Amino acid sequence: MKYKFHEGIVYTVICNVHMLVATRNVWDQFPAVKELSALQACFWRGISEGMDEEELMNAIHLPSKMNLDTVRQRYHLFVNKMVDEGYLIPEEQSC
Amino acid sequence: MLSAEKKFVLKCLSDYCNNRKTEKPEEPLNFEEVLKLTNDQSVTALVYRQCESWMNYGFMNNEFRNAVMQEGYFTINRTLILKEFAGHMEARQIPFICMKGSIFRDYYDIPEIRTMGDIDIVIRQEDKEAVDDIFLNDMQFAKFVDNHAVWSYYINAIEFEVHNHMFYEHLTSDFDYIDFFDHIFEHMKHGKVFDTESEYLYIPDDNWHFLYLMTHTAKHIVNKGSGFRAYLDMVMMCRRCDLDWIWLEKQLDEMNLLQFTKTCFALCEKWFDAEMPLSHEKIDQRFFQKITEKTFNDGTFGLTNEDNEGAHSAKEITRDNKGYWLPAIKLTLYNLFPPYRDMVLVPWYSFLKGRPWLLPFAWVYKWIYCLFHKPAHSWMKLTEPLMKKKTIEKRENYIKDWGL
Repeated sequence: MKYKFHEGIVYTVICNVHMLVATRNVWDQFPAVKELSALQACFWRGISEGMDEEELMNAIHLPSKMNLDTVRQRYHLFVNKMVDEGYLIPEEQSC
Repeated sequence: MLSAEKKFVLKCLSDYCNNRKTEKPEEPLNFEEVLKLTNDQSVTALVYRQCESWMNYGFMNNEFRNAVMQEGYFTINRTLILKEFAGHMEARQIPFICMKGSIFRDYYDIPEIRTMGDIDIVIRQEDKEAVDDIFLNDMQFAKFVDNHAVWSYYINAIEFEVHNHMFYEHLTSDFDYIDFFDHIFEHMKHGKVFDTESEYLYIPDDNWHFLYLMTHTAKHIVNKGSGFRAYLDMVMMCRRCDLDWIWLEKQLDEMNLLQFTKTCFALCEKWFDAEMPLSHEKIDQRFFQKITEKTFNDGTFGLTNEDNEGAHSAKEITRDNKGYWLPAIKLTLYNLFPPYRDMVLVPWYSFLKGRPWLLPFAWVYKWIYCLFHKPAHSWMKLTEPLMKKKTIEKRENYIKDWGL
């Protein structure tokens, strides 16, 4: 499944701190800033490039001490959480 | 003697200026104190950049990362909002100049670590109403006017300060700084600010902006002090801009700021181990120690603390340049009977506009207000020039030590 992200949310990274920033139109819907871990930021960038789960798993550079199953598990957790919080929208729901 | 925490913060700033990562300190430090110092100086994000490789996860790491995230919020939103504002200004064909932090930040390798409170813009007096309309109606900002000179507009902590003068004060009696900087519209160029470019968006010429940085810092020193960020700006600007030092030296001399600039550069060399232009003498060790402590105590823009007692009176008396008692009596009379020219600029006395004959009523109104709302402060301000001669003279000498 592919996802798109909520309009008005911008990803940025400063000094290796990854974050999602809410812009003016969505200030009342999202926290001003949400921090992402380095792995979550990888997922976010992959999703923003239009990758689905398999494409992302093939493209991802595995962090040391982590196997693909763990990464996949983390991906599912991340995507579910982000969908719940409204940051990500499954593509079939978006128009 | 500087505390280990203060030494560490200075080391971070110095390492940053010299493109070095800061090593984990061997001696144990109170990182809550470090955080307080960096917050006071608005350099938390910069210090985090220096230390992130070894700063362990945990409470302090979170606090430092929060400062970085805050800058992420500001950068993204300022960028979008400035673009929107530039669009409105373009539609109405109003030129505007961005100055200070929004320009200085680009001299840092990671602009976000150079924090800033607001976006300062200069417009022409005749455009003030139109700009007011853009902020209030087109962009739905709130407005705050704390004095006659600056109009502030804000939304969700994003703030713009609109100026129709680049500089407002008379630092010394024999140079007209206000008039000098009013010529800014003859010394500007197109530039990119927060990724925004527009036919109507300008930035000051670099040499001109450097003069402004020095004048602005001098203003803070004369008033309540300045933090390390202004000196970092000096270092970064000298490195990143192709400044004309022959012209600048002559101009700074004319503005009575050459000695002050040399003092600042000498401090930059000692604090940050940075090579600075203009030849200057070695700084006196006692002055250096005193100023280093004071710069930490004063925070980014200076604070009201005992170091700065008598600052206002000293400034006025020094400016008058006619001994002590005559200017002190003049200042006391001025505080009691401010002239029409100054009263009319205060928003709550705007009823005076065009009615100078109402001035005595405004004075009575002011006295009654002060008597009932802030009697202690008003009495202190009124009697300070006459009662605190020693404090004020000490303060005058301190200002002279800076070369001002």
